[in-house]
Amino acid sequence: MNDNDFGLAARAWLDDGPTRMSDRAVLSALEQIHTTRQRRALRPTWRSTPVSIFARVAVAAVLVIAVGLVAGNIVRRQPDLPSVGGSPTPSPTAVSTPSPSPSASPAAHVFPALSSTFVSPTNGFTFGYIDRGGLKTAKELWDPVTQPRPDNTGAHDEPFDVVETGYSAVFKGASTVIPDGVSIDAWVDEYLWPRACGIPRSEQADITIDGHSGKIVECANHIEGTVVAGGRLYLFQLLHRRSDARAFFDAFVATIKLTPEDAAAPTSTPSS
Amino acid sequence: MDLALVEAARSGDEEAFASIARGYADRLFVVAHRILRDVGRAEDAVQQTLVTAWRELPALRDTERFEAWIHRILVNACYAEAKRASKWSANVVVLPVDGPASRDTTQDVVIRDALDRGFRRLPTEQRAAFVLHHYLGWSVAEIAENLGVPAQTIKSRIRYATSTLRAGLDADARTTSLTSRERMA
Repeated sequence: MNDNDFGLAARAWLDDGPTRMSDRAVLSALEQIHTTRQRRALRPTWRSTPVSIFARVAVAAVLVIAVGLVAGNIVRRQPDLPSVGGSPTPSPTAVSTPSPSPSASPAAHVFPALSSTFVSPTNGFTFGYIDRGGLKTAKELWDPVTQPRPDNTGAHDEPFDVVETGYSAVFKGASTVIPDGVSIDAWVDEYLWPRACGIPRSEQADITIDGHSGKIVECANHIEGTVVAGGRLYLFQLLHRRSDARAFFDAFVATIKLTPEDAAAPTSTPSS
Repeated sequence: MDLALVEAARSGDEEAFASIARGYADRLFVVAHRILRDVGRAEDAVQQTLVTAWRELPALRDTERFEAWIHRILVNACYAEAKRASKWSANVVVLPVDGPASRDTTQDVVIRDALDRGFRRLPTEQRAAFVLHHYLGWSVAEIAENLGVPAQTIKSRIRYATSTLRAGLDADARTTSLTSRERMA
């Protein structure tokens, strides 16, 4: 084999292999970035013009004055602090609120057609999806009472049908039998959240999925919709890093058909 | 590459960096996979690369050098990942099991298998230089500059990698030829 043949063989061999990173891995990286602070440069990496001694002294003087003002302000506020006990008084406005995704311009809502139809073998629903990033079907029935809560890392996803869309978003859904006699909102709040940005289900926005009234909450990097049909609670989630995530979620929701009669029967009813 | 996005990300705009990350993830993954030959480890290396790039971006002096800079971080992440993996993994090579194939296809499989086995025996530094040169098409000088390594070192790494892989191919060819002659006899 001459050099040329070797080069061609090596190139062909290197070309052969996966070319896409899973959405989940990208999302996981972005989650880490979200909690990672940038290391700020201690001094500017470049300076276009030299700074005179006078300017440096002026800046230093301004800084000294600013520090003095802040210190004086703190001293003046001391009497307002609680005099007994160490714990600060909680602010009455310290209620966590969802941070919805920034709305994007309509031009950003360019989605591929959800041309493939997925029929869940266990969860009793169908939806359209994009056959691009991969699809994983649920490996077990969902029981939020006894199973760990799903998170954005993909851990505890066994009861979920999961679509890696290939568009910086993962769509997943599951359903479970609702125990007799429970309040849906209270039950959801107890066993599914506080993932939903801490918003109780009763205070979440309304959504309609396949003609059934449900609730939706938009958090920073995920959207969650819940709906009840045929005695089952359905949960649909979109984990994402898209500015137009709500429109993306709605595109999926528009294709959902709830078929509780087709859901796999649990071996035992979840305890309440 | 959108320099405005890099500038914005450098100033702390997380959304801008997310756009960059989405655009670069697959490209970085392909390079990492070719170096590490493992999907999970390649994804880990890319994740580490993106986090490091985000953290260190304010220190990047010349944003036009972003692409070279992030590849340098990637290669270092691959080194770390390979080092970590070598502590845990047994050196097991899974040979492909193929059904009936034509002569040409069989030959291709034999060559690829020999390359794969040879490549896994290479030190990660040689793998990286080989991939950057043969897959990304970077010249020795570009690799040297982008990785911050002397050109002569890069040249040596590519030469050693090539000779190891070629030796593996030649050995396989001899074995195949010998087996064919024995069958004929």
